[in-house]
Amino acid sequence: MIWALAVTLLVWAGAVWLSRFGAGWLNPVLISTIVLVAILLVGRTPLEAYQAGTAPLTVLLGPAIVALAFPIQRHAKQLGRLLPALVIACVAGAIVGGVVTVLLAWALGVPHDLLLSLAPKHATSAVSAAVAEVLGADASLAAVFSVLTGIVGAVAGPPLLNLVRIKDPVSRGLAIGVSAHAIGTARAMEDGPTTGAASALGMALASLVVPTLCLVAALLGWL
Amino acid sequence: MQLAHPAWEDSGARGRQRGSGMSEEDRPNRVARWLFGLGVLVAFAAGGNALQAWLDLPIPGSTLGMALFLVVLATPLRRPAATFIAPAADSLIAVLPLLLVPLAVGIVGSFGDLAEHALALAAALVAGWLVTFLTAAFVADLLMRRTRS
Repeated sequence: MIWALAVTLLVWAGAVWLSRFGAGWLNPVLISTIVLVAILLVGRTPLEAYQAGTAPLTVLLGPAIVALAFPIQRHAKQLGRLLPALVIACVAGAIVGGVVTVLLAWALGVPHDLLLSLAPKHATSAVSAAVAEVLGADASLAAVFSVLTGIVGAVAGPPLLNLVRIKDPVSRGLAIGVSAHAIGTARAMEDGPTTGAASALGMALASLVVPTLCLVAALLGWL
Repeated sequence: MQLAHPAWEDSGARGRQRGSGMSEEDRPNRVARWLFGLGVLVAFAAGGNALQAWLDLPIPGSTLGMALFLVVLATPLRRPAATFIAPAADSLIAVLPLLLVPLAVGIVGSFGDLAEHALALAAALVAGWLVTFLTAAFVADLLMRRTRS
């Protein structure tokens, strides 16, 4: 099933090309996912066969997360003494966001195994999927929740920041990166290098903080 | 770790090659460096996984690997790491969204669960994002104004 890999790469390239025409909402991850799901459904291809074929991509996720240490280190140096403030903001955002997400979903009657996939959604999909897997929940659902969160953040984030009058590029970037990870960071890069750097730092911090919070919550028996 | 080997041998062999012009020598060197970087990153991910399995931690092995790598970057090893590992790391970060696509396509297997709770999930998703976003933005803004003044 190496066809799966070929189709995924070709669809991805098409989606990246297409995303130039829409500011933020024509997200390549979203478009490729929709197109590939349609192809699988039309071709009646079993999901297992598709995932076996695209294993070369999935295998690289772990090393890609390790690679995020570089943006943390680079931007930590660049942002210098602002770092403690940014780390506190990231932890605060991750805690409040995780609690609100899980409590609201629980109150609306979402079953427990879905809550576990929902909890780590502010981390980038690779991390949230890994967290869900470790917690014994559905990894692909967690990845999808992360992707959807990222798209919401990339589309609604910058206008919302204008609305609440936050002008500082570092605060803007951090908020986008912490709440909308890689997809938001791609959007933040468009607003300038400082916003992009702060967003990359926020994403990287979130991929460190969110699993830690999930670990604490799991150890305390809250999840 | 297997990936790291050819890269090492290649950069070692560089010295023995006849001087054949910078540009020709540069390219295999860069490829070797890139592969070496990939090897190191894969090794850290594998090490993180091993640590996770050994300690039975509910934290992904890749995140542990990143934390370990951050520790390495805080030491004087930072300089060689920036030269030899950063090229591969930058490539991987650039294609990170692509790597997520096969995971996201896995949604095909869970359409039933999702449809049943679609509204509740959408509400939790958007509300959770909004709260995280505003908290991070305001806390960062407030604390930074204090740090800067």
